[in-house]
Amino acid sequence: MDRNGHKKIRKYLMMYLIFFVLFSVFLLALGKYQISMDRRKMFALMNEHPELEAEIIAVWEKPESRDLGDIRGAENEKMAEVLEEKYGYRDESFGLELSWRGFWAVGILAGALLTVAMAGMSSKKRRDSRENLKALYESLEQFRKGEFGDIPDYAADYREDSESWMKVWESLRELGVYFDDLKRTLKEEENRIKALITDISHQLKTPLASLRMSHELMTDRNLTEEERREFQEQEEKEIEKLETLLKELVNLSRMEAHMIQIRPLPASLKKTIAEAVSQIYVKARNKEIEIQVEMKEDLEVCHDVKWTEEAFVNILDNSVKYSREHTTVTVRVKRLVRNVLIEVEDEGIGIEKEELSRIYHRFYRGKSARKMEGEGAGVGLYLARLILERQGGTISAKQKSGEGTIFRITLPAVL
Amino acid sequence: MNKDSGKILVVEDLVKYYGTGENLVRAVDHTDLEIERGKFTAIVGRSGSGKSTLLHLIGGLDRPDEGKVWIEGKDIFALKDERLAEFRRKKIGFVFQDFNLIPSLNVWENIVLPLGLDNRKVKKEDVEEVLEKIGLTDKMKTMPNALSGGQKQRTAIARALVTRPAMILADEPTGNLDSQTELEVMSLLKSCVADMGQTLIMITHDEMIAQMADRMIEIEDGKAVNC
Amino acid sequence: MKMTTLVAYDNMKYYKSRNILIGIAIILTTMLLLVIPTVGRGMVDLQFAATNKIYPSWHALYRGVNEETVRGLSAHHDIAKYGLRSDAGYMSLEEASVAMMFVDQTGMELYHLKLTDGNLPRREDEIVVSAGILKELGQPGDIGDMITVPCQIFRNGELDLTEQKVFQICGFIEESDSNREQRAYTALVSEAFIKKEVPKEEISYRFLLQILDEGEPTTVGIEDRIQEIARQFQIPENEININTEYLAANYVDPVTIPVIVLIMLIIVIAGVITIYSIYYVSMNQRIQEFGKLKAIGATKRQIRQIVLREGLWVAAAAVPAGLLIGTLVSKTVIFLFICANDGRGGFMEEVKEAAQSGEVSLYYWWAYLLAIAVTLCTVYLSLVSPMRKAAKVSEVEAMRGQEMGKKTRSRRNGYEFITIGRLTRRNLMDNKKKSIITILAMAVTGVFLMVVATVLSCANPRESANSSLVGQYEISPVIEESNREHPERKWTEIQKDNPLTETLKQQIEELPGVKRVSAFTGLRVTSDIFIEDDINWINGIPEEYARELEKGIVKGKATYEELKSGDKVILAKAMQHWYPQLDVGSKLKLVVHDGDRRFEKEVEVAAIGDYGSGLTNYCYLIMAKEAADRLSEYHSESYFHVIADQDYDQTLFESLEQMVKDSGRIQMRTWKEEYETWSAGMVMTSGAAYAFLGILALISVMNLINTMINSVHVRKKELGMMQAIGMSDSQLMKMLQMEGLFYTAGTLLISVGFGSLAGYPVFLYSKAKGLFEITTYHYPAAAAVIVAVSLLMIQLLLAVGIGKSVRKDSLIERVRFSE
Repeated sequence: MDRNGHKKIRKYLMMYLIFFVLFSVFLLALGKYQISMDRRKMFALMNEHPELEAEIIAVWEKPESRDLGDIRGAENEKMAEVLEEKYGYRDESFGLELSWRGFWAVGILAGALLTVAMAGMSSKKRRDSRENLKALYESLEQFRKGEFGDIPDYAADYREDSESWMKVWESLRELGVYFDDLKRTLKEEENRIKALITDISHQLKTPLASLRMSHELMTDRNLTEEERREFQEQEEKEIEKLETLLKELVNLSRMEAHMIQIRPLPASLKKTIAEAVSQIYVKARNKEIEIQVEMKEDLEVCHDVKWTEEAFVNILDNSVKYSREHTTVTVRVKRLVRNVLIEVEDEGIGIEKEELSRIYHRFYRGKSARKMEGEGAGVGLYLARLILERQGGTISAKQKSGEGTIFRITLPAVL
Repeated sequence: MNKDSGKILVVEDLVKYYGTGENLVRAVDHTDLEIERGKFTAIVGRSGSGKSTLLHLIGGLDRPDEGKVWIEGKDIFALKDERLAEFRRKKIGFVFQDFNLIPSLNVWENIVLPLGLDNRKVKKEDVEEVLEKIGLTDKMKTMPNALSGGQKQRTAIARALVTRPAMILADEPTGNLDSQTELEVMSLLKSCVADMGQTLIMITHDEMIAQMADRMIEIEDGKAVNC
Repeated sequence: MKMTTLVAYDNMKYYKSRNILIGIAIILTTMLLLVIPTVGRGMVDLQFAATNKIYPSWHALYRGVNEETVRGLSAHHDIAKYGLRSDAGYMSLEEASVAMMFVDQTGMELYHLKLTDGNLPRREDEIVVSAGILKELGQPGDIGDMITVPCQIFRNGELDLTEQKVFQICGFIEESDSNREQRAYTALVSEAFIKKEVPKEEISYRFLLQILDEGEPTTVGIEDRIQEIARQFQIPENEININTEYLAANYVDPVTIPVIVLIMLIIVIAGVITIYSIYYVSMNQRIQEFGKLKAIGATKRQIRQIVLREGLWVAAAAVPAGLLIGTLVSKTVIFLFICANDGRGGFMEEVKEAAQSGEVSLYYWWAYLLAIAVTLCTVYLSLVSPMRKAAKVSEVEAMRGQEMGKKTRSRRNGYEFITIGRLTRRNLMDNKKKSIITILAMAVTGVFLMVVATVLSCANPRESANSSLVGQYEISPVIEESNREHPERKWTEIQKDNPLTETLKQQIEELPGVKRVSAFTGLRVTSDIFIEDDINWINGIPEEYARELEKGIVKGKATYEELKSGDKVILAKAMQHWYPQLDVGSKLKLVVHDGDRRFEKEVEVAAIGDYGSGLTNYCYLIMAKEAADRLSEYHSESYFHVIADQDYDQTLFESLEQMVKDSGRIQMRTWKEEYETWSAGMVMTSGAAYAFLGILALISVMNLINTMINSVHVRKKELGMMQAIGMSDSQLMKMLQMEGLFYTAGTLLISVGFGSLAGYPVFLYSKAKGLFEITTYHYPAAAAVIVAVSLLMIQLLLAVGIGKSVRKDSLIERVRFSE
């Protein structure tokens, strides 16, 4: 038994002691009352029969000297008969012959049993409590080992029904879930980086291979000057392509690895859009595609100028790339209540409905896009979405009823 | 006991039928589903395909005929009604198509109501921050009937977010809104959820909205089909 | 069927739960409306049937009327029927008493006397006897046989010496068990016999009459006519004997109708309030519906019709049910009443017989018509306002689903945080008018209940008995002022030889268990200030009651010492009721009747006191006993009040009873009898009153049920919503409980608070009117507790029930629910 246990025992002993004293005092008082009642009867008898004074006192106060025991049995029965038959008093005393002492003993014993029972119940309670603590300790040990997922469910694994214990278990569960989540996020991050590296290496393989091929062909001495120049041009193109791809990939990987901090600051949206349009302008003019910007007034919008411009370039580039010659790409800017809506509408080949949700996937290129010659690793829209969402914006695309696609971009107007 | 607590939501062989005989509707018919923490999942499907029923079952608003739903590794239908209600208000925030604001309470009161139900102390700054985010700071004492649809839905979103639940379930939250308000509400919902790392499951029939999701699930005849 | 009727019918079915509530309210209302008049009338009829069996059917009789007056009276217009009786004398028999009298044919009828055989005597030597008489005479005989009768004939105001007369038997008269038991019979002789034997100027008749009951006479009206006719024929008032029991049974007491009307009015009001409030509470949810009807072209009139007809449809179903239940209930009530009074003497025996034999039908077509008509009026009255409201609904507002005329708030400074309590408070405050109407409707019944309970709780049978009888036994001489046969029973004669002697007093005091005997002195006085011939009494109260006397004074000042002078009296308050001009300081010129002596005595009213009838014995001029004794030359003790150790003691009672029997000139009342009468009366009265109030309360509980159900129904979606965002079932229950608790608390506060306050003036009024002999105020704590507990119980059960019914629908159904 620990110290606490001793304390408890002392408490119950005290309780029992108090009960003992109170019960004894009560019985004593009861006895006194009984005696005084008896005395009154005796005095009344004595009043009536002063001549029998001595006998009465003797019977009352010294029953043992009168041999009361003899009157029991037959005599007693006869008397009872007289009492009932003649005077109509029924004997209702059940023959209970418990002495005061016996009564006292029974009471004290009952008290003792009750105290023990109470102590037993409370110790059971304590035992339950201990079990809970033990389970808690085991769970914490488990945490230390890095296993977070397997916290016993309180509601299912019944222990003791107490509100506070339940709260402890609930928060323990929460903690477990939180740690588990943290662990998993780290793992996911790791996996993502791995996947990215694989993707990048895969993307780089093809252009490098073709570059290597043309380079190998170049080393072939049996080439005419013309052929050589052709190959050189080809090589230059490949290098250019590779450069673009590399740039995209660098951006992408830096973005994915959270190496780029996107810092939205209030700035002119008009300027950002104009900058983006000018970057794509040459490419558009080559295909004789007109870029229209409909913007009634300049808007001061919180955005990261550099990266938002990059996102717009990617989207516009996508539109120009998949548009036929002599078409128009329209950029509309609308002020919503808490957001700014930027619509980019083209008259291009459009995106099939099934593909709509896939176009933002890394390195995804639509079926029709694949048919089209041209550079691009299918990173543009993915990157654009990443940039926009990091700033609390959204992007979604819709097939127009006629030809073409509308991209809807929202950016929060203020932060 | 625990069912893959890495996934925030696991649905296992869930069945819910309505009606009998010829009128039997297999609203949810042996559906399995797993959703990862912190992801935005859109549930699409024709009307009557059982997507609302699925959402209600996930949220513990209704009990299934068969099957189990685990949220954060907890079998929610093993809970008694009383505990389920507690669990729901701690873990799940609901956003409904028709807003379902309490008409007799003003915006502020509507937002703090779930906290009150959960006997939680209201941290004024927290609520004010949410109000700021939804842009209704100046309307906090306004009654719902004086709000526009978008404002109502933003209030409803704030109400769903205020307890910082792990999961937000939204049943066509933009169904009653015009397209511009729709975008606005969506961007709010999305950014809020992203900020707090919450999991969002949303029913929608709008493909543009669905595109914003990390993942899309199509429900067809009570069964879930991954897209 | 007309469109409106059809729509109304569909509406009725659609709003089933609410209409069931209204239906129950209507059933209860109809039931009460049927039961009250039926039971009232049934009791009266039963008593009437019993009365007619026991009491003679004459309205009044005039004694000492001579032949000339008989002729005059018989010609009077207002006398519909009259009979004659004239006492010839008595047969001189040792033990039996056989009165010989002449009764004419109508007299026979009015006395319910019947011949079993033969005819009434016509010739002077004809006689009608009974078997018992023949046995007493010791002469056998049949019709036509001659018998010799020794008899004493009234002549000159007294019985003459015995003479032997020979009669021929011409018929036999019925005799009852009590005739045989008491050996008291009646023999009939002819008028000719009297005329032959008695000098013409000495012949006096008893003139039995029935007043012509034209129109709707009341007891009071008939009594007035009887007095008036007597006055016109110079018949002194003490020669009039009015058959009040018969009149009471046959004619309406003018007080009864207003009381019944009042009770029915209360029922109607309770019904109207309840039904109205049920409609009011649910009207708002239906505004849209009426708006739509209006939008598709329903006129205002048609809308009104739809509302009205819906109510009438419900009534059509509920009224027959109410009538059926009412019929059963009223029968039960009457039989319960009869059973409760079983074994309480011949009269109730007769009532019971009348009820069981089906002599009295106990079904009154007019009661049914009345109940139907009044119920329909109730329904109509409660629909007037909802009808108007529905008709006023504007299409646009209705379609928008907003409550009419209610300003929709657009802003509110709400709470910083929300708790279940605040949610409840918000809901109640937003529906302030609804909450208040519900509470008031319930509180009206509650207040009424508390007021009645106050009166009933004050009517403590022990106190009433104490107040109506001092001590445990009361012994007084048998006084009969206007009985020619017993002139010795006149008070002034008794004074000369008072059976209440000092010896008797001592005898009683010596009986075991007697503490003491208090003698009260009574003196007859008349005065010019009193109404003609009104006799009042000086009440000489012994010194033991000095303190009680002084305590009871409500106005003025008088000590017992002052009363000893004999010049000052305390006037009992009851007397002031009859003579309001008397007040403290009034001087009364009294003529004291002391034996044959008459002398004047002037007394001053020193104070006005309020005492129970036990102390005053209806002798309202209170003096010290010694002063009253001084005024009399005789022993004028009018009452011995025996104060005993126990309320009732069989042996003591028997000893006293023996004394009474031995003396033959004294009578006794016991406290126990008084107590039993009061308590039996109280059990009946309070039982009936509480049953009535209980049903009334039930009607208004319908109201609470409706309000609660409605408040949940209207907010079905809202509650579902709250549950969806995390309100648990127990929180929902808590909210409903709190809401109900608010209604309960409000109702209790008003009922118990205001009811208690209102109870006190009503108590004072009842006390002043001497209702139930109320003397002291008792707070109806039991009733208050019962009202509180039952309201709480109902409320709790209701909340649980509603909670269950809410949860019956799944959460989803509720969230999706829209009206």
